[in-house]
Order: sequence, then C-alpha cells, then structure tokens
Amino acid sequence: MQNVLLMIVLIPVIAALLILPLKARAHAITRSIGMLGSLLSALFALAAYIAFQRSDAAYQFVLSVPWATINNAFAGTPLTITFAFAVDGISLPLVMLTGIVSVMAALRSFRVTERVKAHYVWQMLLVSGLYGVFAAADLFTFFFFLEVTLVASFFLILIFGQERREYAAFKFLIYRGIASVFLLLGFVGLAYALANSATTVSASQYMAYGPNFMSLNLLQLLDESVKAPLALGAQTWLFFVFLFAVLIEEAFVPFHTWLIDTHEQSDTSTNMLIGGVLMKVGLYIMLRFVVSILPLALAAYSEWLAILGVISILYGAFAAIAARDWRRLIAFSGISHMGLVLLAIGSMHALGLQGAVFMLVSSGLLTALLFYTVGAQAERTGTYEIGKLGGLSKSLPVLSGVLLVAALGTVGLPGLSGFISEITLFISSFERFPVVSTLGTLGMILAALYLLFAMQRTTFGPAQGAAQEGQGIARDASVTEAIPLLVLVAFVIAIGVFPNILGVVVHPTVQALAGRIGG
Amino acid sequence: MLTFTQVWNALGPEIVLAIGGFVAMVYEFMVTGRAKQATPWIAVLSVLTAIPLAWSKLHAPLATYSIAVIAVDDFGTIFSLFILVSVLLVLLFAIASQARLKLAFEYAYLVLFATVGAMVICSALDLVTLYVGLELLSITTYVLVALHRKNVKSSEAGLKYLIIGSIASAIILYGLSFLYGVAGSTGLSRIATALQGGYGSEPGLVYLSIALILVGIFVKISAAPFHLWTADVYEGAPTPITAYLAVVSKGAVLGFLFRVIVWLFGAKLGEWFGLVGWIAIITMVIGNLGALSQRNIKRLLAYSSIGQAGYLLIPFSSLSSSTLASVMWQNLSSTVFYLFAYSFMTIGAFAVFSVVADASGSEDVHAFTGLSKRSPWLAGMMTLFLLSLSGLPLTAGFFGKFSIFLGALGAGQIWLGVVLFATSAIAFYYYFGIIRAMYGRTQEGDTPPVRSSPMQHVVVALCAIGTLWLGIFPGPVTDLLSNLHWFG
Repeated sequence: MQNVLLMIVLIPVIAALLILPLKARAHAITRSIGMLGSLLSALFALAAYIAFQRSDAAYQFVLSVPWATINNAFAGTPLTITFAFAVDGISLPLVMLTGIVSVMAALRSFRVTERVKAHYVWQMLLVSGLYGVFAAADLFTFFFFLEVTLVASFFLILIFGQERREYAAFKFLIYRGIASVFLLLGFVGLAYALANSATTVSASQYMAYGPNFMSLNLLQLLDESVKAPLALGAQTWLFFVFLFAVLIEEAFVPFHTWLIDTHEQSDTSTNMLIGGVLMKVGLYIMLRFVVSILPLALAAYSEWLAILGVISILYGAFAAIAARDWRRLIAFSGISHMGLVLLAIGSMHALGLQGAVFMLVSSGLLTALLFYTVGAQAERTGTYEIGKLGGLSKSLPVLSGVLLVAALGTVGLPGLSGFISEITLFISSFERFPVVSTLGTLGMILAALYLLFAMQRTTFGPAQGAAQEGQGIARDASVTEAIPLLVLVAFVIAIGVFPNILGVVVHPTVQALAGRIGG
Repeated sequence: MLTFTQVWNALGPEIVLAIGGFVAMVYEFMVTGRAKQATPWIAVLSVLTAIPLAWSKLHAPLATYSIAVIAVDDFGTIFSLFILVSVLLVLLFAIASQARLKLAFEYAYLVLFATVGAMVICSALDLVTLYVGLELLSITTYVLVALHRKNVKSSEAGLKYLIIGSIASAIILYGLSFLYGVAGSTGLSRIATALQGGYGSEPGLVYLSIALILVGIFVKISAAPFHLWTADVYEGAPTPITAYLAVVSKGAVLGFLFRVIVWLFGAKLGEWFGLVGWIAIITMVIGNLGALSQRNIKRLLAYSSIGQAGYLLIPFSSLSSSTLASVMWQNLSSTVFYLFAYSFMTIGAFAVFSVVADASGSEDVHAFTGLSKRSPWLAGMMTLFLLSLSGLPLTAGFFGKFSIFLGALGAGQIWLGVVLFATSAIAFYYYFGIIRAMYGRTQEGDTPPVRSSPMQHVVVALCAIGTLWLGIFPGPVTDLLSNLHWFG
C-alpha cells in the first residue's frame, strides 16, 4: 500500500504516454486507454479509501522520494526537495472526488470527435495533476502538480473551447499564473520562516546541519509549526499572501471573472474537471496550510474570511439569478457555494471544518453532474441558454430527472449531499458569526430561487425555441451517457443518506486540526 | 619569463580555439566551392577539443595553473565551460541553418576568436588583458552581426551594435583607467591591495570608476535602461549570431562583472549594491513588458533576453547584502546554473524559430500558426523551451529561477525574488501567445509541411535534452557547483 498514491498519480501519465504514439484516427483505442487509465486510478483511490486507518488523524501512505538538493539554500544548510505523497482525512475525500469525476469526465469525452488524441492526453495530464495536488505532502510536489493542472487546463480550453476560447484560455492562464506566484511566495516564505523559528529538529539533522534547517516537506513543517510556532507577525504576512492566492484560485469576488469565462467557453468534460475538482484546490490550500500552520493569523482575521465568504455567497447568488446561460449559472452557483466553505473555515470549529470538507466533495460532485447534464442537453438542443430551452421533461425525461436531482442537491434538499454539508457548516458558523451567517443563509434561499426557476424553465412548460426544433432528433441519454449520471447521482444520494461514509474518514483529522486552532 | 608550459596550462582551451580559428581561416581562404563547407566543422572540432581541456582544470587550486595575468580558478573554468558548451550549440545551429541562411563561412573562425575573448574576460587578472579580451569579443561580434552584408537590416544592426558597443567599451576603458591611476598598476591583485579593502586614498575616483564600469557592462548585457539597442540588433543579425549574442556574449560579460567587482570590491559589496538590485528590477519589468507588444519573434526573444538579464543580475546583487560565505556560494551557483539553463532554452528556441521562419518566410508570430499540425515534433520542442523560459516546473528554467529566488531570500533580498516571479507571470502572456499560435489556431489555405534537416533536429534535440536534464535531474549539476572553490 506504500506506493498507492504514487500509482494513482502515475497511471494517468502512463495512459497519456501510451496515447501519444497512437495514430490520430485511432479514436476507439485512444478512448479506451483514457477510460482505463482514469478507471484504474480511481480504483486505486478506492483501495486507498478502504485501507485508510479510520481512527488515525495522521498522514497515511507516506512516500517520499528525494529529488534534488540545493546546497547553501538556508544559512549554509542544504535544502532537499522531495516528491512526497501522503493523505489524511481532508485530502483523501478529495482524491476520491477526483477519481469519481475523472472517470465520468473520461466517459463524457467519448463525445469528442475532433482531435481526440490531444483531448485525452491533456485530460489525463490534468487528472494526474489534480490527484497530485491533493496527494502531495511536500510544498514543491504540490506546486509542481498545480502547474501541471494550469498547463493542461490551458490547452484543454484553448483547443476545445467555444468561439472565445483564446480569450478564456489566456485569462485562465494569467489569473491562475499570478495566483501560483503568490502561492510559491507563500510556500517558500513558510519554509523559510519555519526554518528560522525552528529550534528543535531531529538529532541526525542537528548533527548534520546545525539547529536551523530548511525543509519543504509538509509533515516536517507541521511538526515544526507545533514545536516552534511562528510569531504572529510572520503568520500575518504569510496569511495574506496565501489568502490572496486563494481568492484568485477560487475565483472569489472580485477575482471571479476568469472562472465565468472559462466555464462559458470550455467543453463539458473540461468543465466537469475544472468546476468539479480544480475549483476545490484553493480552499484545500486554505485548510491544508493556513488552518494548520498559521492558526494565530487565522484567529486574528477569521472575521475577514467570513465576510469575504459572505460577499461571494451573495454576489454569486445574485449573479446566478441574472444568468441567462446554464454554464454561467453553474459557475456563479459554484462561487456562491465556495463562499460557504470560506465562511465555515472562518468559524474555526471542528464541525465547521468537517462541513467545509463535505461541501467541497458535495459541490464537486454536483457541479460535475450539472455540467454533464446541461452539456448533454445542449448537445441535443444546441443551446445553453435558459430562455431558449423548455419542455425538455417530455423529450428527455432521464436528463431532466437528473438535472432536477442535481439542482435539488445543490439547493440542499435533505437526503442529498448538499444538505448535510450545509447543515454542519451553518451550525458552527452561526455560533461564531450569527449576523454574517444569517446573510449566508440568504444565499441558500436565493440558490433555491435561481436553480429551481432555471430548472422549471428548462424542463417544464411548453417545448420552445431550440428545443422544439431539436425535438425530432433528440434522444434521451444513451447507456454510456446514463452511467456517469447515475453513478454521480448515486454518490450524491449516498453521501446524503449515509454521511458517515465520508464522516468516518474526515472526522479524526478535522478534530485534530481544530485542536490546533483551539476550536 | 613565462615558459610555454605555463602559458599552455593557463590558457590551453583559448590556445586551442585560436589555433582552430587560424586553421579555419586559412582553410576557408584556400579552398573553393563545396569544400568550404568543412570550415565550421574545424571550429566544432576545436571547441570539442577545448571542452575536455577546460574540464580537466576544474577543482584545481588557484596557484596550480595561474599566471600573473590569468587566473585558473573554478569560477573562470566553469564560465569557460558554459561558454564552450553554448558555442558548440551555436556552431551546430549555424551549420544546420547554412542551407538557407547562406552565411559567409567567415563566421566559423570569427565565432572562435570572439569566444577566446569571452573566455579571457572571465579569467583575466589584469586590466589590460581584460580589456583586450573584451574588445576581441566585441569587435568580432560587430562583424558577425553584419555578416549578411547585402541585407539592409543586418547592416543596420551591425552599425548600431558597432556604435553602441564601442561607446560602452570606451566607457569601461575610461573606468578602468581610473583604477590604474589610483593604484599605479593594472594587476587586479595590486589594485586590490592599493584599495586596502575599501576605496583607497581616492574614493571619489574609485566611485566614478565603478560607476563607469557598471554602466558599460549594463550596456553589454542589455540591462535596462541601457537596453535600447537590443531588439534592433537581435532582429537584424543572422539568427545563430543572435543566439550567440544572447547567450555567450551576455554570459561572458556577466563573468567579467563578477571577476572585476568581486575581486576588487569584495569587502565593500554591501554599500552600493542596492543600485544593482534596482537595475535588476527595472530590467526584469521593462524586458517582460516590452516583450508583450512584440509580433516579431526575434524581437520578442530579444526583450525576453533582457528580462532574463534582469534575473541574472539578482544573484549578483544578492551577493552583497550578506557577509555569509554560504550566501555567496549559493548566488554564484545559481548564476551558473541559470546560465546553463538559459543557454539550452534560448538556443533551442532560436533554433526552432529559425526552422519555422525559413519554412514560412516570415519572422512574425503567425509563422507558428498551426505548427502542431505541420510539425508536431517541433511544436512540442518549442513548447518545452517556452515552458522553461516561463519557469514552469520540471524544466531547467524553473529550477534555475527557484535557486536564484532562494539565493535572494538567503541574502534578505526578498523583493528581488518577488519581482522575479511577478514578471515571470507577465511573461506567461507572450510565451503562451506563441503556444496559442502553434496549438490553438490553424493556418488557412495550403499549408506546406515544415522542412527541416537532420542537423536542425540534432541541435533542437540537444537543447531539449539539456533543458529537461537540468529540469528533471538537476542533482549532478548542483552537486558539481556546490563543490567548486570559485575564486581559489
């Protein structure tokens, strides 16, 4: 089991390498390899989930491969950069999420007919990058895989997007590129500050390098941050560097425009991966680095997080009401729901953190599901415009039914994954920020408004516009299309009905994490 | 009196190159027709002979081979190795482009003579030797830039480079003359003694001298605000020569900077090096912003190389702000590492550009349109070089920048590091603009396949191997660099 994470990350890369030498017209074999690669990785993720020690809050499946050494990196001591992997109760659910969404996206990509090879190569690299980000236990490893997702998504948007794809791809690249710069600054600053403050290192390191010793290894950094916590001043600086990176990564207001363009221009499987998984990375950074290593700064500025969260919740919700295009609506709804997570992190409570992880997973599944469904509808009707759709429940009953489930799940209907996430998250945030949280719940009410309204326009009522024209040829979801939908729905229901399948994994870790921030 | 053995020990690689140059010159003069094509291979052969010679001197203590005017220390040797490897790539690149460029074969030995100058200025210990080396490098490159005599742009570039370059040389010479005036000697060691670890008895004159030397050097490495000649000259020069200017010339003058300034003013580094830090910041910003609006790829790469000069000035400026020896070693290693990385990715990018420009007859970014379909291999390689230039992980560029960043951080110059990465993010825009053309767009109408010779593939592949090797397995090189004894 030691190498399970390495396998998860490597398999998609191997799949991409296998696809590369294939002939451009060998569509069937390209698709099969892409599918197999995604599936195999997901199965390994499942294996990791099964083998995971539930009661243990610590990192598991730790694997560290030294990669390069920079001598004289810090006060005459060398810095060893490693490729290190490990998961705990926060990252494992996100690895699982990546597994589920990537398989569904690979199935969805069967519909791609142009430049199939390029699509699967970049998609496989994106999937590998996403796995790598969540499984990384080293700041360098994390950053490396984040850059892989950046380049791979750029190509996916650039080659397979709609009319304004170039604009969207560049906006994506520049925004996230700037976020990466801040992140890298934060990472190196973190390692540097901890090396400066650390007085206790292991005996062998002390013998070799003296008391101060720079490391990028997450486990070691966490260890150092407990033994020799950073001063509030250093924490504050780092906190704002990270916060800025996260605001851009997560497309929080006012840095949200890139995400809207990206979602509007990308094809469906890319949207599933970006909206469903990549958009969880920023908040994962928050949970992983800020909450655990910078608790003093978090405590000092938690109101800021709550307020920033609520701004995004409300802005996202109002913008979603105004959206005329399903993809814009989903994008804004995503921003709104990610605002909830920020609010939950601001609550600094174990329950809130658990709700945050639940929300990341739930929103990931639901966003992927929504994108899949509206993509499938648009394929038949030729439009994403809510105003031009109507009466699809008659011609496309399965797709319409799934859309309904996805919408209800997002709104937070009990029994679906959204509900359990929101309820845990709000319970703890109300305790700490009653006023702000009340405003936050308003976002949820608005969510019901915009989603159900758009739902109703799309599926019920008289068939009209594009839907009408397409009615003759429109056929409901085929078997290959129905599988991903039903699987995603199954997971949404499973988490909603048996939240413990996720809870047992998440709980010990967030308890330990909350211990660090006194929650 | 020096024996020949002493001179050979100190200047072996330079002598080999000079002899190779003269042989090539005579050969080129004597033969006609197709036989002339062997001329550059003589140059390649002499570079290949010089590399192991230089390599064998690595780790030799300063006193072993040095003579009064030439130091054989690891600093000079590693810079010589960088220069030799880059020259080898440039020569192969020139041979590969010969079919279309139709360069006069004089370039083969001119490049060798210039290289002798480049190597001398990285290891000279005497102001006169330094200046002779600098002029050898400069004057031959003036000719090389104008090698396409009948091409208006090439001639214009040659003239511009001649005028600006000579002024810069004159300014440096003027600065050096004050040092002689103050110390009464041209030997760097004597001057250092006369300055008594400070500015000596005439601080005003020494300040002036430092200022003049720095300005001249900034012109030569095209640091802003002394960069205005760069784009025009790079655009006009034949592409292999542009690569030579961007890599070898720049790297060697950087070596000159380290040699003179660290040797003479090592103890006083901290006092005025903030100035270099500001120049580095301005250079990074202007280079990268300037590249944004360029449509001509050569001009774009010229501005990009200005930005890269800014990155290369960071370690130099960071040297000063800490008295820790380890900070100095880290900054020297990161400079050399980045120079190697820069050499591979820049020459590689110019090599792919040259193939693509030949195929479409245009130097515009449009020449790259749809390259992923016309030549997936070249498009892939170009993407690799561009990713490395933008500093993405697993390429030489990332590790180089990261190492420079750590050096700056260790020296407490965090702002230099911040600007380094911030301007790298700006650079995404124009590097990915080329990638967009290659992958995102398709050329309308008839698209002739890109024709490339095996030799061109060899050059591109060598550069790609270097870029990936330094990016994926930087270990051996960083180990080598950390075991050097730099200045003895």
